[in-house]
Amino acid sequence: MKRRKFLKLAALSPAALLALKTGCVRPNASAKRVIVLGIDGLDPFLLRSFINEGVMPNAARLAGYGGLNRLGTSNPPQSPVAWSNFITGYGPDVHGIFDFIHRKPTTIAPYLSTSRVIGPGRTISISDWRLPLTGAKVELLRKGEPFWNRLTDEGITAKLIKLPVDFPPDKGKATILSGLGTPDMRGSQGSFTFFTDDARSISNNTSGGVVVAVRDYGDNCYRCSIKGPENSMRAGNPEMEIEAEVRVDRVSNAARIDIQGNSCVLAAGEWSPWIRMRFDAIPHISSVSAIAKFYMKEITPKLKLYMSPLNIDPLDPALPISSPAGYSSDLARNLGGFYTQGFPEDTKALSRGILSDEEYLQQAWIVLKERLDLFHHELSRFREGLFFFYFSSLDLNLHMFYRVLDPNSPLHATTSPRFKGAIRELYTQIDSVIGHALEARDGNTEVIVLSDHGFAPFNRSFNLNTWLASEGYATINAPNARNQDMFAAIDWSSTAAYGLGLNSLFINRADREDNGSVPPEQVQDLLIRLKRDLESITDPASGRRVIDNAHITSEIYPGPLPPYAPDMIIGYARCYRSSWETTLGSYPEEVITDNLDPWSGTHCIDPAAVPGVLLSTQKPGVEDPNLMDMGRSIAGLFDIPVLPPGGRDIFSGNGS
Amino acid sequence: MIFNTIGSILTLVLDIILLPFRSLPSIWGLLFISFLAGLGMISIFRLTSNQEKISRLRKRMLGEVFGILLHISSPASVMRFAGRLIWSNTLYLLYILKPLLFIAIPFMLIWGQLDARYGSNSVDLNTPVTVTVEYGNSLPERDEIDVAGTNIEIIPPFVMVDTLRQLSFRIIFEDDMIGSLDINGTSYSMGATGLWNGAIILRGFDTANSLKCLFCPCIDRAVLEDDGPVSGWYSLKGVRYAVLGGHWSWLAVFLVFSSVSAIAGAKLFNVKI
Repeated sequence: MKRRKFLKLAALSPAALLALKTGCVRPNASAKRVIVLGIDGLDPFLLRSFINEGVMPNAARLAGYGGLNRLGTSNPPQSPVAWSNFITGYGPDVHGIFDFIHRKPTTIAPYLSTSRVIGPGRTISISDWRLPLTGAKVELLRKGEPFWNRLTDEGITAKLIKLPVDFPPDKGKATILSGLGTPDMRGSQGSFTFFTDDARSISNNTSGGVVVAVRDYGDNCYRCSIKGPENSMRAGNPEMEIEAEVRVDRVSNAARIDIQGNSCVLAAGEWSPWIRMRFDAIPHISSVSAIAKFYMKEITPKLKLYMSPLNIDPLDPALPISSPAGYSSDLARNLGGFYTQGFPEDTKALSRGILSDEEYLQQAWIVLKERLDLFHHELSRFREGLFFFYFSSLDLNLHMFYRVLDPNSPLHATTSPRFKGAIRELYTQIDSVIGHALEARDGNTEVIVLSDHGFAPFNRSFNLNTWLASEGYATINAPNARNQDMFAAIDWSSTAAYGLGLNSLFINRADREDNGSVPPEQVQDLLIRLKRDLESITDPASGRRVIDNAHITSEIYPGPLPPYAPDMIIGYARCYRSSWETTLGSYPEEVITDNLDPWSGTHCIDPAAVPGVLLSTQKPGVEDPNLMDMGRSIAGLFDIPVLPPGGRDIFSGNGS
Repeated sequence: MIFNTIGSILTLVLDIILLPFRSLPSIWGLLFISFLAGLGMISIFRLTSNQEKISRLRKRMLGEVFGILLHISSPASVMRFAGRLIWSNTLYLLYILKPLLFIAIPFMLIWGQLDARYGSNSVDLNTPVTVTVEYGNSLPERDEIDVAGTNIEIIPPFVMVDTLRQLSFRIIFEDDMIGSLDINGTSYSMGATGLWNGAIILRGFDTANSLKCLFCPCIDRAVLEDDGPVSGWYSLKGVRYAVLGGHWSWLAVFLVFSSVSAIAGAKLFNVKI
């Protein structure tokens, strides 16, 4: 009897364990559901034009409920700033994000504005090994309380997929997968590797990625060293490395890539699936996993092999990309690997000519397909509460292909007309997403589509630092270093102002910068003079104004500002933007030049020129909805006693 | 030949044991085998160990531990008891060596079977898998290679690696996960051996007969005809099982649940371990 009882228990216990894990969840018919689609860069003017063409019937249907509204964006209208406005309901004075790049006020050293890695505090050194006693951690630099906390505190579920400016994700009760701002494994925003034996392609340029020279020693095999993240467990933090063998078969114009026991055959012109690789920090004890995609650009006569940035492996993430931590693994198990870096489309590879327009677009479609798979998978599991999903494809592809839409672009004539349909096709895909969200709608479901900003052409580059030098606000004492980054060319003691980042201008204050020259009492007068001078600049080529508004930061954000905040935010006029050189502190000869980079669209201009979009099943009760209102408004659609403090509830009728 | 036969018998036995679980999710079969294996191992332990000696030794070890605790103020006594305890531990290891050796053989055999059945996901339909085959002497000429598939689509190109005598190409399973490759007259089974949960999923083939037949049922034994490749392989994704909120490998499931079962069996059947 006793034995029988044991056997019975033995048979039942795993069943009980499994049942605990796989409890069935049924949709709650009476539960409120809100679907929010965050479409980065969805432009109201392009949207209206495509609706009028009839290629966006679902957007038209949604606009039929609540209208096609312009949504006020952030100042500056950069995605990290704008999405932080959305998340917190406040501006940069509260959430602390003013630009993609911030700088250390004393040393002017730039850093990524949204997150930072803090190394292990104490280590034990044994030979050249460094064994950490405390773990390294990643810190989210965005401040302020996310609006969904008020929902989850009331027991309402919230799932936010590919959420921008939330890396590492908030450890609250919401389910989050980090989006924009998530770095690659090397800690950058995306650094490709290009292996080649073509001497013409080899350069020391490391912007956006590296070109690695490889050789075939006669055995048709290229040994490619893949550099991974830095190894903080070794003295000097050397990069971890693994080797890939690329065995080429020139007769069949194909190759086999062997990495750590896995093989992948690629013909010329093919993209690989995700390939997983492990980097050993301490062999057999500590390692990190990464994933990458390969593109075999050419085999004969020269090898040209592109490797995507090493993405954090969602199955085994080395850094926190989701909350709860196992959520990204669940997704990867169900859907396979996917891009986890914040900027998945490799715009730098296109700008540097590593990928052609066609190859870049192939990659962009791979990204979009992955994102659509993720969207459909999660939408089908959505039962109640808030569901937010973010799409980056429109933004990055409009950046790269605005030149096909704009006949005034310097690159318009040289861009193949066959890419003209790409933007329309992207909008069509987004329309199908809106369609699926509308199909998922029932009597208790609201659908909101919003974007963080619109878009404008970027035809002329404005070298802000060069202009400052030409007007006497900065002094160049090393003309040969004009093209070097980080202000190598200037004499700080006689420099009053400098530009760094996309829209930021700083006064070289004596009480803040190490080499500051402007006494605090002169700062306000200097800002007023700069504003007047900047707003009166005209382009000698066309006579048009270059800057619509030079905003003095303390006037638009009167609260106490952090020391890294810019003193002035430059609102460029349509068609203009700060040059890439200005963003990193160099001083080219010309003040205004044609923009010959495929990065031909922008939104980093005056916010009034690039409003976002708001489409919703509820009609907004205010004339001027703003991104900062959206968190409170979304929370207001649920029956909760206390709404998030920032912004207005635009769906309440009176905008309270 | 003998290894082949033993391997086939073992596969048949496992197939029969797992028969009731064919239509259930794989985890059920794995859990059942784990519990069965735990009970089996404890039974072998009981049969092959000297239970009386182990029992006596355990009592003595307990006495030595108490001796240390009772004479904690006398370093000389503590040292004496500790020395005895170390000796008793050594004796214990010697006593359990024989039963562990007896357990090791079925454990290794079942390891290969479970790895082949529960270790990897079956090939995803419509997802290309890279297959590499290796030739015995040298690669044939390109135009002499004849590759065809049954229920398998062959995706060119063929990459020939002369230095390693290897040929690589991609395949896609068409309707289900059972198929075969025909390379220059030799047929090689690919994918799953059956359409039920818990069926062996092949990860390669080999034409040599060796102990691998016993321990690696995921390697298909092929009979080489003409000038076909002598071995081949392809990688499949490992599978994880959702248990108790975690994602466990088959080995973790097996080790944990067979241990639980073995400990419970030892208690129930009064086995001294």
